[in-house]
Amino acid sequence: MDQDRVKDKLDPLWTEYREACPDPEPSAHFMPQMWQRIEARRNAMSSAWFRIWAEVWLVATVMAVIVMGAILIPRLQNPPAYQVSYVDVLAAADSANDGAVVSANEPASEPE
Amino acid sequence: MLIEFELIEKARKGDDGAFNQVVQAYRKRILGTIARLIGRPEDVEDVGQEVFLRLYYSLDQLRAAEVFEPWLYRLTVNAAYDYLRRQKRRHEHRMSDLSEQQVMMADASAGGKKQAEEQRRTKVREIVQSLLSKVSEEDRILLMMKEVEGLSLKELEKIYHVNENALKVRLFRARQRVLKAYESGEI
Repeated sequence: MDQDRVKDKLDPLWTEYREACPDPEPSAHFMPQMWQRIEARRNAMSSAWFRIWAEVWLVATVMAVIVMGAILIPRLQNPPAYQVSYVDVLAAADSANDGAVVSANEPASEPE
Repeated sequence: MLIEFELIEKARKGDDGAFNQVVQAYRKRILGTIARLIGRPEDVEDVGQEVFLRLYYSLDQLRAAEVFEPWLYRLTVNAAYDYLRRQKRRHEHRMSDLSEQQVMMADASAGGKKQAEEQRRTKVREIVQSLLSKVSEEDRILLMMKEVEGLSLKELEKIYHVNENALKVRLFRARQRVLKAYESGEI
């Protein structure tokens, strides 16, 4: 019953509404504006990708700096393993060589 | 189908020329549907462009060219729904705009029989828009797609991804609400 009532009263109204609202003709600007919006979205998307890419690199750089700092700072803070300078090492090596030369030039002592 | 499947396939693969042809084939029909769904002639092209914009960026997700039309209608329904929700938030503005629009329509129609015909059409549009304002945006769009656009339950099933029985129940309730408003003379 209800269904029939709905059909009788509303169906003619839907039909009239369909006739009162025909498909409109698209304006001349429809296609150009649509492509402009597509291009604008494409540009927004590519700049968003660039921003993400730049952010990834920035984060990676900061992480690398932190890791390098974590490795290098303790090493720099510890005293160096060698307390003597390169010149001291050379001088020490030189004096040792001198002794060896002197001992080589001395005549061998006669056995008693 | 208004176009060949091959054209959709080409558009799906990124051929902008093919996409242009797809839009040209469907734009009038889609604009008509939008006009009847939203009831605001000045915003029809804006919503229509939004539909085709969404189509452009989602075409690669289309599983098969055969389901293109339900896919396009789904995008249309979603864009109209988003528009109606936005409008609901700006309801106060809408009411003032509407009266202005009515005045413009009355001014625009000129003399005699043509004027009477335009007045009758305007009256029908007002009645239906008022009736539809008594139901939710979802039900309004569903009713329009079924009763005015003439889509079958099978087609609606493909668009809404909801089974036929659920659609029937929803349609029944929406019709009851509209009928109640119609009979009570709330409009």
